[in-house]
Amino acid sequence: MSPYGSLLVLCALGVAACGPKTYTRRLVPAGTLAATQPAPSFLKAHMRNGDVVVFSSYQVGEDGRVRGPARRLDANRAVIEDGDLAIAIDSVAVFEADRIATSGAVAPLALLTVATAGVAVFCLTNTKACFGSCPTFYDGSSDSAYLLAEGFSASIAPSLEAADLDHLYRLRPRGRTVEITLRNEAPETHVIRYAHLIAARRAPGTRVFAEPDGRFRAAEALLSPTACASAGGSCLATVRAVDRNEWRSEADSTDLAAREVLDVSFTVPDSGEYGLVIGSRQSLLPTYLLYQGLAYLGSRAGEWLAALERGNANARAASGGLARVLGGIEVLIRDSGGTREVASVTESGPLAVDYKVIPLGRQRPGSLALALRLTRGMWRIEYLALARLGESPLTLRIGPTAVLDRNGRPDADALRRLRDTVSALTTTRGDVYTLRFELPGHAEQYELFLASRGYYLEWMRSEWLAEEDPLRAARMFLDPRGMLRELAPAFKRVEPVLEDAFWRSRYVQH
Amino acid sequence: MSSTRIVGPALALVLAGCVANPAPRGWLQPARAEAAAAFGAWVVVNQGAVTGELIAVAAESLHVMSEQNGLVAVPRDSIRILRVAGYASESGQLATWTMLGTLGTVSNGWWAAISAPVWILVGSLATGGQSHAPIDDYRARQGSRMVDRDWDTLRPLARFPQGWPEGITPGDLRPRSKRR
Repeated sequence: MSPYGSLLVLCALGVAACGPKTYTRRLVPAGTLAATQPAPSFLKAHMRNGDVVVFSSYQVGEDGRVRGPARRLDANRAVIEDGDLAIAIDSVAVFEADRIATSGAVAPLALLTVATAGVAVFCLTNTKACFGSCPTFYDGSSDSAYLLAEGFSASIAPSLEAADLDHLYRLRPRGRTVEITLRNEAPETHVIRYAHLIAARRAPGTRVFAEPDGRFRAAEALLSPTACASAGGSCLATVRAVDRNEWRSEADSTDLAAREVLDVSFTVPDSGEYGLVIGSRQSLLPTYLLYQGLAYLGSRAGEWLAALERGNANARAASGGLARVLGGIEVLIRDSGGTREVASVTESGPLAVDYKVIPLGRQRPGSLALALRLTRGMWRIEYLALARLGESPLTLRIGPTAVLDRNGRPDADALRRLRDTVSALTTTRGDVYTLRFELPGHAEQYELFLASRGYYLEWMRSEWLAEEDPLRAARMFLDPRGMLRELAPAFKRVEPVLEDAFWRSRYVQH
Repeated sequence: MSSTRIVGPALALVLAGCVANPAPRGWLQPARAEAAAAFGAWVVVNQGAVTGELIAVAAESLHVMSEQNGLVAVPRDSIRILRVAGYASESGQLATWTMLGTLGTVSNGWWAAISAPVWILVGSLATGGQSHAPIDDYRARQGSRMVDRDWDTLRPLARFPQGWPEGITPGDLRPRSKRR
């Protein structure tokens, strides 16, 4: 258990033991003293002259006397006798049974403390499930503050700095001003080179999507699939709409690289160029593997990062090994000529769903059979649609016009750093900025995307150092397939918990 | 909102549900010490007309050791409302516990969005409940008087549940001193 968790539990036990008590008094007849249940914490024998004998425990003798360790107090409650005392029952005016009990208010707080400590331990050992990762971007214009996008999830070192383009599919500007809240919610350092909006002009009734290479395409019609079949049954109901309802599967219990296929069918209404729109995000599997890799590196993680920064070919090749084995969502077309791969979606990140379009080329009217091949348990698919593609739309790149700190005050330095593409804004855990953008007139005619670039550094955690294992670290890089088989049972043990922690959270609203 | 930023509102909510103990600060002790000391409870008669230690419940009156006026006999018929405090609730411990627990949810990541409000809610109820635990209110009922059952339940809370002691005169009794 973590030091903090232990402290909380100790605090709970300590306060429960010596914490607030309740005190009740009742008068009892002398004849029932021996049978008084529950045994009183104190028995008080009130004498006719105003003295009181306070027994901390007692026995009723056959000689009609009450005996036990006690103090005799006078009418002003000064101690006049202390020790083992005995008094005749018939000399007592009235007996008072006092009960001291731990307050009923302690139990729920003790339970809550243990639960909080348990969650804390879980979070410290499964950090991504609780603390997010990468820069997160929220809709700052709405009260719901839902998560719009996450930036450059795979860029875990300066040399892996990369640009990212996220579709702000559900962002609906209310006017020309758009506010996006940038957060650092993880024990990480984020270096954000820029964060710009891309506004793509769209015709009424159409949408614009980005291809994996960043090219924008107008989607003139969006057609739902007619069938969607996975190993677990039909996935049609879950992928027909952008409704936060996602298709998901579980990882293989013997091989984390095991793949599966979704068969998806569409009806093409007329000839034209079409594309498959995929709304997806990753599960926590890649995150688990990244953290496990860092844990195996332990105290040598810094050396590995340094080698990566020096451009060490082995380190660079090794860093991408797992990702290559796990792969993306491969899109295949099944037709009379067989099955051929068209492209794949490799968007990283487990937090926000991103929407991309995969061009499928010209299609004739009739049935179109597609297959999506992907690693089991690694992807969450919210949306699949066939889009009839139009021309590339006019796009505008818009830098923020203001950056506000967490208190709503303009931060000119942060603005400068996020507007240009050379300097960078560095954030640490808990930092929050609001980026304000000004759209052109008729803002509703634009589809919005977030273009960001940067990298982030994970903070090493003491729990990871305990798992240092150079041999396994080397295998992670040199034999990723083997390690994905070896790690399968361990991941399967935490897989349901990771997902529960993530999905039942209401902090991140998709 | 982070866990640390909700501590202020949480503290306000926790304290909002609490009731102040009517006894002067330091007069009552926590439950166990109070039981061992064997004094009477602190009473507030008719919203402060008379306050002090409940000495005895007599047939026609309550004997109260008033801080200002010494021993006074308050006619039962004159009592419309009576607040009795038997011991120090130590609800402050629970308030502190609630604050620490709420702060502790910072270790819960996203779950803090659930655990912090739960801490505030449960902590407020627990602290408020404990602050009320030592306090009883009695109000006039039948014919604007308190009923016999009320007087019977008051007797154990007096310094002398047996009634006025034999051989003791009012001048023999001294008020209880405060702890500090």
